[in-house]
Amino acid sequence: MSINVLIVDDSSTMRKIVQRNLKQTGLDLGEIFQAGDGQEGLAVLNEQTVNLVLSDWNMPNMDGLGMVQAIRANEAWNHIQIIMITTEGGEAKVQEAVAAGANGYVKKPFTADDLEAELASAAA
Amino acid sequence: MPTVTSHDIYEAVQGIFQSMLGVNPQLVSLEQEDEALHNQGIAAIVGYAGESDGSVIFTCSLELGTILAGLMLMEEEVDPESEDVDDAVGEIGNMIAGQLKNLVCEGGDEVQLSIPVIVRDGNYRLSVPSSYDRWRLTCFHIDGAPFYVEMVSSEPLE
Ligand SMILES: [Mg+2]
Repeated sequence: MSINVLIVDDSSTMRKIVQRNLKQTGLDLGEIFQAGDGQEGLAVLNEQTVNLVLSDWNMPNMDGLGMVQAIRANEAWNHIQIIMITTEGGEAKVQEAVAAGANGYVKKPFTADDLEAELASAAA
Repeated sequence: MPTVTSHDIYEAVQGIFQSMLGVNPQLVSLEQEDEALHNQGIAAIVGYAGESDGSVIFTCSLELGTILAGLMLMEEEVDPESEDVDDAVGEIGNMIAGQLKNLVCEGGDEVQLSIPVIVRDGNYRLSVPSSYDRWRLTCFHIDGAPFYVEMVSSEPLE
């Protein structure tokens, strides 16, 4: 079964880089959606079936952590895997994201291999 | 509070450019101020605040900024006047600031980054409150085209 992915980042450049790296991972990809902040991300989830969310942390309106909390507060979205991709590299931030319900964490800058390894360990 | 050395800045910049842009910038100098610095075409300013505070400023010519945007987007034709260039240069500034704040405040967890602010068309003078006189400039080049990373910090910079 192919997976639908939502990429959330306030930088359009970074969304393109994440999408490009995602296509190099060998995952069986279905549709790829993009959003510029957490609120836009939740709006996409309300409209579309998404299996994997790749999200930045620092964004306007609603940040990545707020979006993770909102996703995990909705049972209908329990199945969604969430990976944070962010410059927020500190251990306490990683713990905070995991406690909120993120399944994995990739620090910027990153390579396609970093993303692939994190997706594999989150899926395991 | 750990100090940030020139070598730290060099390593942060190298790591970002190698993994996100696929290029290997050369270090030109750690100290020397270049007269042309603030006459450059585009700059990204990212502030950080919290347990420690300051700013990180990434500056280059509009020509190099456009090349960097093309490398990040993997597009051959990027319009220098487009938002793509602002966004790409801003994201480079964001990543450099993210790495440096993690160094200035171990792990970086108690420090928040601002959004990147883009300055275009250069010709400005950078002035910092005298209590924040810990200023460091690092110059690099890619194929002869210079770019600059400046850091202003409330903490000593080695
Ligand atoms: Mg961001």
